[in-house]
Amino acid sequence: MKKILAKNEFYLFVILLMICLLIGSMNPVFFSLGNMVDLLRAAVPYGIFAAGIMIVIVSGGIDISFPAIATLSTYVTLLLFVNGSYEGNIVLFFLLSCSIGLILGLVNGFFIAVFDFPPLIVTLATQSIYYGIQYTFFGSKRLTFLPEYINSFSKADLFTAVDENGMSYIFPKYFFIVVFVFLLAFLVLRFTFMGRGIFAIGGSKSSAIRVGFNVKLLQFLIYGASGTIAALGGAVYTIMIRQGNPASLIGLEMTIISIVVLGGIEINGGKGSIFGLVLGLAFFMVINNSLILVGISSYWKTFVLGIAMYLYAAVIAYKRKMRNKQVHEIDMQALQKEGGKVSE
Amino acid sequence: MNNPREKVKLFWSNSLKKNSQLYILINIFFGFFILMSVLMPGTFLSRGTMQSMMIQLPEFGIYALAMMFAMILGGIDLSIVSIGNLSSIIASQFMLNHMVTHMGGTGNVKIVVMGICIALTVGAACGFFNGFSVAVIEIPPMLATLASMSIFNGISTVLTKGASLQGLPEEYSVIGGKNLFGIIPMIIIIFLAIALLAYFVQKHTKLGMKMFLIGSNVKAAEFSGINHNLIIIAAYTFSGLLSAIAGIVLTSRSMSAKMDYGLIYQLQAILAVVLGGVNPKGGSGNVWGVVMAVLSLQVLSTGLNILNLAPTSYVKNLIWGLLLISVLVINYYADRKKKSIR
Amino acid sequence: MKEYMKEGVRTDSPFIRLSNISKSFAGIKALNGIDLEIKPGRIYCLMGENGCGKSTLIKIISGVYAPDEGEIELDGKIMKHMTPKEAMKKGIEVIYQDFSVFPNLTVAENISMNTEMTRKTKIVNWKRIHSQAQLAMDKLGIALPLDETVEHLSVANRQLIAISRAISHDAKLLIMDEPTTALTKCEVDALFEIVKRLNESGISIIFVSHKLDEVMQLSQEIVIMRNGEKVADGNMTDFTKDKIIYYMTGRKLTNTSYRIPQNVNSKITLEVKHITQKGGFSDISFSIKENEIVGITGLLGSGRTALANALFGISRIDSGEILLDGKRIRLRNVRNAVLNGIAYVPEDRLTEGLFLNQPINQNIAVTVLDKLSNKIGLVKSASIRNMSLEWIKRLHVKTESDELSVHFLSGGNQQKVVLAKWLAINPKILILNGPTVGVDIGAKTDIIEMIKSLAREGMSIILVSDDVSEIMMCCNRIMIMRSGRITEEVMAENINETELYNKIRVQEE
Repeated sequence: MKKILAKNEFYLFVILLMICLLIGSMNPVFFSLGNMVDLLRAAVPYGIFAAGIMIVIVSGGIDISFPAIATLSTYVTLLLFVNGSYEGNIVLFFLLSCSIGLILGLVNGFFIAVFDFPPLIVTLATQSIYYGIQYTFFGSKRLTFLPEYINSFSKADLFTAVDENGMSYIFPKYFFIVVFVFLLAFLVLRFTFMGRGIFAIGGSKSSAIRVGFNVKLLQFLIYGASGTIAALGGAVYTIMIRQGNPASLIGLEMTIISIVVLGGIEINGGKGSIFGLVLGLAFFMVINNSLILVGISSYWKTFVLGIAMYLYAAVIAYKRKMRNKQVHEIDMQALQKEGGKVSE
Repeated sequence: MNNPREKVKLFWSNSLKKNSQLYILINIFFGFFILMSVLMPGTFLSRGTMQSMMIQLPEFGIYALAMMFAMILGGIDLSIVSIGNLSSIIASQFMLNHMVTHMGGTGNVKIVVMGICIALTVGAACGFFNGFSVAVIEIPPMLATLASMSIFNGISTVLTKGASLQGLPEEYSVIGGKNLFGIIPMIIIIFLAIALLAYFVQKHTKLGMKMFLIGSNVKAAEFSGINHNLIIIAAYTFSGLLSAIAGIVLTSRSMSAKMDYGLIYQLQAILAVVLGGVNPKGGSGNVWGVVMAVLSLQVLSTGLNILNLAPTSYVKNLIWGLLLISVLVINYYADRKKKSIR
Repeated sequence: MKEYMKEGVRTDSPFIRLSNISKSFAGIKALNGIDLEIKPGRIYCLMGENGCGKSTLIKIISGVYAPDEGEIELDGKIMKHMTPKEAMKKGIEVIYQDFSVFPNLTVAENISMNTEMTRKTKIVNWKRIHSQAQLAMDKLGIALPLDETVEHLSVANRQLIAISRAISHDAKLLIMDEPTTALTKCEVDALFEIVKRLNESGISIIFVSHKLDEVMQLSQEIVIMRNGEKVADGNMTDFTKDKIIYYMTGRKLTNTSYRIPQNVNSKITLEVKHITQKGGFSDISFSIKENEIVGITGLLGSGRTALANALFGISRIDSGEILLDGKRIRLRNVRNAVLNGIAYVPEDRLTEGLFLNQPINQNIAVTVLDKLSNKIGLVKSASIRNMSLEWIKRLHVKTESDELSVHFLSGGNQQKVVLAKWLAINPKILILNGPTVGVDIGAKTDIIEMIKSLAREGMSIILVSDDVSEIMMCCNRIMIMRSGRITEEVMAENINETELYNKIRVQEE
């Protein structure tokens, strides 16, 4: 019990619960089937992107090139299937898109692992490059006539819920993808040795090298995975909005990093859980989509999110400060105790 | 040694030795400048091209200098553009509320001056807030400024409801629209003056020197009796102040203010600063490196536009990204060589 | 042990043999033609001053570095391109000075990490991780909470985790790099018990240390290095303390202690009355005059560093008063102390004393930037250079230029830069915490002479150290601390090195 109380996730959970109850009590629409389905559906692309970034941040890095990767890989794939002679199918669409994402991610990994450049700077540069490639060679035209399988996958429902008023809400099939990504990320991070290696690097890179992790290879793979997941997110987003829009993800990197941070994943690496990420995502979705239900104009949402993030970061910083002091005190106490024993 | 020309020579050779990146950038800038002049003397060297370069450059350049102050401390400031927008929005609202409505005339000069003061104050206050969060509360800079970016953007959104503020007093356009001697835009003068001031602060004042020392080792700075918290706050405040100036330049050029103006500069500023030779880990860097980086980027993008190699303005993103990576790689090998000689 | 028998190898054939190992970094030879044999079941001690190549040698044995020349023979097989993973698999384990634990992971995971690594685990079995960790801790006879994250543990416990991790699978050779630096006497004793027990079970141990007494107490074999070469090795019984020092430093230490100059009329400068800091020290009273060098010594945890920190305003005192020239001063932060003319050369110069990537002149000028600047904060770079050049000359800092970054300097010259920075404010009180730790012998003499001449000129100097010879060489008066109190005060002329040494330890027993 004490351990649960010590976790950041627990507080986030309580706060989230309180906000939900507050909004729900002020406007019952919040808990309505429609709103819930809407929230879940809207969370899908955010969730996928956030999972990829979380892995990178846990390893002590950062990736801000992912919106560019998502845009470029999906757009190129779409172009191929829209303009090419072969129309492809949904599996190929995902596969090709993710492969391009993998390659772009590995390019990041190459510069970060081999040259040991700061990840922020490398992914900043590659973001510029990937967007540059997108707009220079593939243009900025929106693609609205998509292959039929994309439209049908977009509308495909897992189930259709009907509420008491007879309104029906489609719960989309692609929701499975985010569940799959979360589950996979959870299993990899928790139950594979490679996953533990990601935490190990994030905790102490030099120790990880000494223990025998192939840190460079691991970093290479981490950024590759991040690129792949970014492309997957881009593909799902394209399916959701049923068009290929090269401008739609610009600036998303800051939002996603905010979600990850709200989920209790430490920005300096080494700590974080999928459970926390889900909470952070939920928190973001509720603030982003539901403030309007209680009469707060949506103009406030950025501000509210900023304040929430700031307070959260301040609390974590304070806790870290206290912890360092505490460990110091433990050491000092041990010394004193020993001294005392001797003097008796 | 005492001969001034010798001194200048020594200064150049010394600063170039220490800063190979500056050297690369100077070569890129002049190389490309000369290339363009030879290839397209008519268009590139025309008054219009030169002027448009000088007009486009300052707002980005000032943001880059703002970013530099945070990065020399080993930090980062993700909120510069948000600060620029917030301060110009608040100033614009003030001017819109208080301006004398009749057209023409000079009745609004006082209001404009007050507006500018307000913008600067807001910018400095936002910077102070960042500095306080980083130094006193000890939030990692990236997180602190990411959150404050959201907060400042949020305030801007609430104030304007996302709309653009227009109809600013005519007198305000003097800053962004006026040319000195009819050729040189006022804003490039502002930019260069700020660069000079920044150089002066960093190299010739104790405040600037302490910033470098803190960026190099904050604990040693504390143990040497430097009031590190105060200096960190000062650096972020300075960054906020410069951001506000960039915001003023931008709004007076476009004669409107909006919460999402210049968002693209946020990350590009980091790019320019690193390209200019500032170590992201802190403690080293040079104003002229950053200025040269900004100039090079401008010449490159304008040149490519003229050459029509750039069907869209986005090609410059591609070039910039490649440039940054190449400079990093070149430096990596240069460093290795230097180390192996030692 | 079993394995040796099985393979029919005699147990006294070496477990690892290095022949003619050389290694250079950036053109500088760190190791030069090292031959070394480690036999199973023996405790070796690897000694040498800082920078003699000890750590490079360890990294070669553990596969972190590949030697430029020479051969490594492990268990009778010649190893080419040995990686850390392979070395670990062969049973070579290193416990680094910083322990190399993962602060963000749990105790159990930290301990099991190496075993899982050598086992080439793909899928993590958490049950196994817990049971392995438990087993390893049982071997050592310790019990730490398995699910606690390591960042919440004390230094000594982190070390126990590092040891548990090293022995959690079949370690054959355990290398411990300066394992006692952060431990108290009791903890060191406990550690030695553990080492002996491990040794009895057949594990070879290489113990790296520069603390003579520990080494002589523990080891069976000794290897001494200097300037990248092995200068002596053999059975511990063949070596005496003096002989070891001679080999380590390459010369005999002359011991001339400091006396206050005659016929000067020294005033009291600093006086502390009943100062107490919770968790640090309690009820400390003493005073120091001009021309004095007062040594404060004691074991780790005796409160000596806490006292030094408090006198420099790094931490605050809870009660008592501090008087400077008879006037009461309050030290709320470092700035207060500096403004009052108190200077402090910290224990860890790399992290607390220097700006490594800044030029030497900035490193020296940092304390006087305020003085060198005019009213609006302008500083002339010429004035910075001039004052720093003067100090470089006065302290004999060996450098091509004052514009060079400090990290290009040797340890001794770096320490001189730290000293110069403080002498530049012309302090009344100079506090030195281990001023010659990790400094080569030439610079050590320079620094000690400098300290003495400063005292002769009238400065009051407090020298905090656990290095008895350093204390004896510099101080005219010595205070011994234990459990946060000053327990004894002696004049240097009335005591010799061995007596002082025994006084510090005896108190503990």
